[in-house]
Amino acid sequence: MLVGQVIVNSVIVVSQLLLVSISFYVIYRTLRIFHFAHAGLYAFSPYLLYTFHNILGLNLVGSILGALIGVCLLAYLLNHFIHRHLREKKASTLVHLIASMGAYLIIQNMISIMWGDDTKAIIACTPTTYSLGDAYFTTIHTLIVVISITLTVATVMILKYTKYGMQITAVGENSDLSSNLGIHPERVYTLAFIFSACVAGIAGILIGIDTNLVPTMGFHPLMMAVIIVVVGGVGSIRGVIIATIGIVTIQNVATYFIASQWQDLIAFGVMLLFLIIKPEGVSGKPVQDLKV
Amino acid sequence: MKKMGFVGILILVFTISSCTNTDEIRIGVISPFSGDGAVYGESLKRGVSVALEEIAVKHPELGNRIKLIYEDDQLNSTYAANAINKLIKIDKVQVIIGAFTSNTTLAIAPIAEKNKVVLITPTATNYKIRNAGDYIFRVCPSDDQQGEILAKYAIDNLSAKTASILYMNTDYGFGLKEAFSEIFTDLGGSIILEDGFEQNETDFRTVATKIKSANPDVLFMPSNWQEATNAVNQIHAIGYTPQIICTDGTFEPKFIELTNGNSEGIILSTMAWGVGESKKLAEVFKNQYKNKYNEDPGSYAALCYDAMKVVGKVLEGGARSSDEVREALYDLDYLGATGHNKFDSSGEVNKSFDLYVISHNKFTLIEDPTE
Repeated sequence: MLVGQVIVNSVIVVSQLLLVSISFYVIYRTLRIFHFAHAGLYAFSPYLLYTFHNILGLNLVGSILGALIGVCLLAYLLNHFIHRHLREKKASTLVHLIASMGAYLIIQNMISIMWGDDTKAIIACTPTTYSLGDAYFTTIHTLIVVISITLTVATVMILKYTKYGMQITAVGENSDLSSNLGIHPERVYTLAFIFSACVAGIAGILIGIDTNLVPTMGFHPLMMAVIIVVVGGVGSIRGVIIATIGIVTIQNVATYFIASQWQDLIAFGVMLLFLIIKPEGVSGKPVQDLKV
Repeated sequence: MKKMGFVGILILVFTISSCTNTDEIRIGVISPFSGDGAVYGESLKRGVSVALEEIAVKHPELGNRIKLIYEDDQLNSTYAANAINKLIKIDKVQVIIGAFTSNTTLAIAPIAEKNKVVLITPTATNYKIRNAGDYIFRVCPSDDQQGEILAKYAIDNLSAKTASILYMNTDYGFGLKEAFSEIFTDLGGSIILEDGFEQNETDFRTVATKIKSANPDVLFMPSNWQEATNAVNQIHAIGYTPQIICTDGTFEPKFIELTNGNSEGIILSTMAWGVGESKKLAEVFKNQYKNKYNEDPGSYAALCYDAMKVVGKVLEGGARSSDEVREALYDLDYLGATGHNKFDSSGEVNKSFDLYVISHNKFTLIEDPTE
């Protein structure tokens, strides 16, 4: 068994998924909804990058910035035109969820119409391969790991120590009470949407460069993020991180011994086990507010 | 009053819609037009449109009466079944072109057979379709032909003793895996590792690691080109360069473009189209396709073109009901862009395969594989 390679593989996949699940978690923490349109945002940003960089020929850094601004704008619009209205009407979380799924389908089909369904590549060059013993990895993998760790640490810090982070926690716990204490929930919602879209956009770009773009590329990572947030336990970013590492490691080690088509089944199996045996998740917080 | 007006409009709409031209010949087309498989639906649509235009030019009285009704199956068997039920019960079609993949075709074939509606699939290659029924035809050759050719080539020309198979877990990938491993083991080789992955999978790192430590002589990879692209790139990214054998699903210029050098040396087979007798017809098709869409057609588009031409041919012969069409199809021998469309008693065609090797970022024909 090529142990080193399996470890490296797991680290890469953990890093990819951490970005998605953490950004997904931030919205969940604030609004208490499963934000499905997140998958659309995740796919939208690499397509924007493709437009700026490959079609318009702008430089890579500028294009990435442009793509991230674009995806934040889209997230702002989603919040402003859909979720804000639903909140005003005191809609249930189920309504938010369905609206979000609708938004995802619209974004995904918009991408199909505007860019076509065939696979697109942002950087079509053979990446430089490095080796560490018998384990191999490429430049983009290194980048994914470094950026992922940095952003994860930053998110934890922001949520824990900054004013905005504490406001997110407060609004997530009780938006009415927090507005009595001088917090503007709407402002916090907008901020959470933009922040999480930005992280999802970065994840989409990194993974898009690694494995190319298709309009439906966001759905699978989103499913994994849902599983991770459920297993990790609601209301704990530490739980999310532990769940990501745990599930990905189980998946990769299991794939080594049984066929890889069972990967998703293993993840869902872990989630079911947790729901039955330890419904509060890794973090151990009660699950009563896990709606839908 | 307002209500009355609304009812009036409704009645008017129904009358108009039921007064459609009775001369119209409706043909159903089932394929993925949205979702993951939309790119396939697009090439089907294009191939069929080029064929229909050709029919309309040659036989305006027939071509202008043909109406294609497109139904989207999103690569999903349930949607495909809904689509065929709608086409049969509401649109009352007698002939259906589709579905695109083996999964969806196998799901709708029993429905077509039960309702005695002719189903012609342009591209579904799974071996089970041979026995799917009397009304089921296809213009593409079956997987077992292809699996056999590749297994023989691996043993005879690559002197492989061991093989690993990394297959896409659909009827297409699974059927080819079965065909390949049967012949490969019959010829004295052994399969040391088999692993499947789901359609749309993008993470092949761990399975690649597994294959690397098994270290087979050849790696057989029946898959669509999108999945194969990531698989090949990730196999190379872990510093492993096995001899890979792919199938017609990977015969796509974009595969070479997106693997960018990593696909060098891969051997693959594809239905031989536009060669020999059918060369002239294929050139005509290529030119028309290029004029219309500004790109070269792939073998999928060519097969879809042939499927529509086959339907056109039997309609020209005066066949209208599904039974007439079925009889006419069994008698037909039509030379199309992809070779002879002559159906045997199970509705199968016999078309030849070519072997290619990817060298210098191009598909290069292996002239005579028996040498």
